[in-house]
Amino acid sequence: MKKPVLKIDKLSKSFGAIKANDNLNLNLFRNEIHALIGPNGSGKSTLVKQISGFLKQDSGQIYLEEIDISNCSAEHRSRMGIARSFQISSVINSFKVIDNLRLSLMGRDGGYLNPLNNIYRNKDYSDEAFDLLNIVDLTNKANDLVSTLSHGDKRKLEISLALSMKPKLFLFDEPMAGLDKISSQLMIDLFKKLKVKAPILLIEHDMESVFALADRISVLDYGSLIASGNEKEIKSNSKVQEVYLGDEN
Amino acid sequence: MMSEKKLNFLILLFLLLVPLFSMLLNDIYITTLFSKIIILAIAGIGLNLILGYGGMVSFGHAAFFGLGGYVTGILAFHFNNYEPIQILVFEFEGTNQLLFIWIFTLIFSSILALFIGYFSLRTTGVYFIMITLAFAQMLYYFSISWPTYGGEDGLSLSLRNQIPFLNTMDPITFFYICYVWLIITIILVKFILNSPLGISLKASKENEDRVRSVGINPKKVKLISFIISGAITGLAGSLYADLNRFVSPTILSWQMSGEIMILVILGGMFRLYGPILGAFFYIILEQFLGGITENWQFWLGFIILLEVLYAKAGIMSFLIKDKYDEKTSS
Repeated sequence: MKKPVLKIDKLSKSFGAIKANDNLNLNLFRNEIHALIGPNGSGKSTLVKQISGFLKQDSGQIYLEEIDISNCSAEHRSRMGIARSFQISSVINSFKVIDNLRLSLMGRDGGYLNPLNNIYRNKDYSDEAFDLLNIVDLTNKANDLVSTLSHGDKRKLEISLALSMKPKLFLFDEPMAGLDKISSQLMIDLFKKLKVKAPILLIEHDMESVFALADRISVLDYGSLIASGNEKEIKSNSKVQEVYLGDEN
Repeated sequence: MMSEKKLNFLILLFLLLVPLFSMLLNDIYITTLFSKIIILAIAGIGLNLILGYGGMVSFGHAAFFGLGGYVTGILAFHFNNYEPIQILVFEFEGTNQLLFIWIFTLIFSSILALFIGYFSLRTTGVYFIMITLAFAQMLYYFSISWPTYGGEDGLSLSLRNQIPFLNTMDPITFFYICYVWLIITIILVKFILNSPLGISLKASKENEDRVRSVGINPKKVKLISFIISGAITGLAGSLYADLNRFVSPTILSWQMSGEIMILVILGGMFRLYGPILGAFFYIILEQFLGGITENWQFWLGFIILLEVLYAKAGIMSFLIKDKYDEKTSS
């Protein structure tokens, strides 16, 4: 039997009387893109925040390669190999593109409290940063200030930051949001390559992208999992049609 | 208008030549005045590490400045009185040797910064300002009510503490001691700003979530930076006590914290040499305006108001080519 890279076991989270996640179970396996869809407020982003350690669950467990990480801090989980992007692009805008990569490489290696080594003279980091930028086609903007980048380029930078962590899994929260059709297609092609490196848990509202990418789709509604399956199963599920997809699908 | 590098070089060159100008003008007070400027600049560089580069608005750096002063004063006081310092059942001799005094100052300031930083960094924004202020005020009131070391009247040092083969009572010698410490501080902070700790600090100031998502603990980064900042400011306090041969609760007061912060803002945050220019203008304004009117602080406040409204990057931004930006590297 295949062992999941990520296992969510009976995860619950409430904000006052509102149940954001209710007794959720979910697995993410190697070489797969698992899309999480659902209406706004269904608890998708809350789930990503709990997996990445930015939010503490009320109950339930999270396992990364069978290790219980439920009580680990966000930074510890990142070093363990959980790489994420944010719903709204979250990069260091006042840094150059390459310095964002340098930051994440030294974060990954854990030497970030060193007060004396000159990070700008570390050739290994520079070389690795350029390799990562090459994957997302940003090498020509390596020395640009991030604040001058377009929205699409910031998204690409976030992907390269996630890649730099040598991840065991990717958590991508609405990576196509705000992208035009060409950029979305580039992102889709990129994700297809990335899933070989590490499985992807993808939150996305753009159903075209979801159906183009996802090996498996899970649907959340009011914090509960209402369906899980492949594209065909999800499209034909009457409950999913009712709460999310509508009649046109 | 000139490049930042050129301006920095000119600042250091000018300071190096101050004793010469002082001798040419036959006014040794100028050298002493610039010793004070350099000492405040060191304190400002210490604060700027966390304020400008780390976004931590500490309103309690007088705690470290004052502790440095009191460590210096107390060690010299016991040396001169031949009385050992008693802590519980332990006894320690005092000393007048600056090399030892500086080491003790750095150790004690670091420990205090660790303590204050550990609790203060649990808060942010206005609460951080208030808690750092509260710690400094605690020490201020403690020093007032400590009669052994002069209480409200403070503690006088009959002579400056010593370094072998140097006459520290000579204003020019003492000036160059301060100058060397300024150079050491600049080199140290420049190293830090280009190091993993420095880049993590600057990133933590802007986006803690991003920093955490690449495996960095921003609290640890801030705490280590806070300790280094406190140690630098403590050292400046030690030099200040020796410069004046006097230490009193005034250097632990919130006004002292405010003074250090003002000179950082005046000179320019995010610039390594900003606090040097800030200290220079602050002291010169104090001297100049103080000679004209008793209410010189009013006019100083007016000048700061203009600066905050029209030149957020401080005096440095008027003198150099590149305009306001929160620099990512020094």
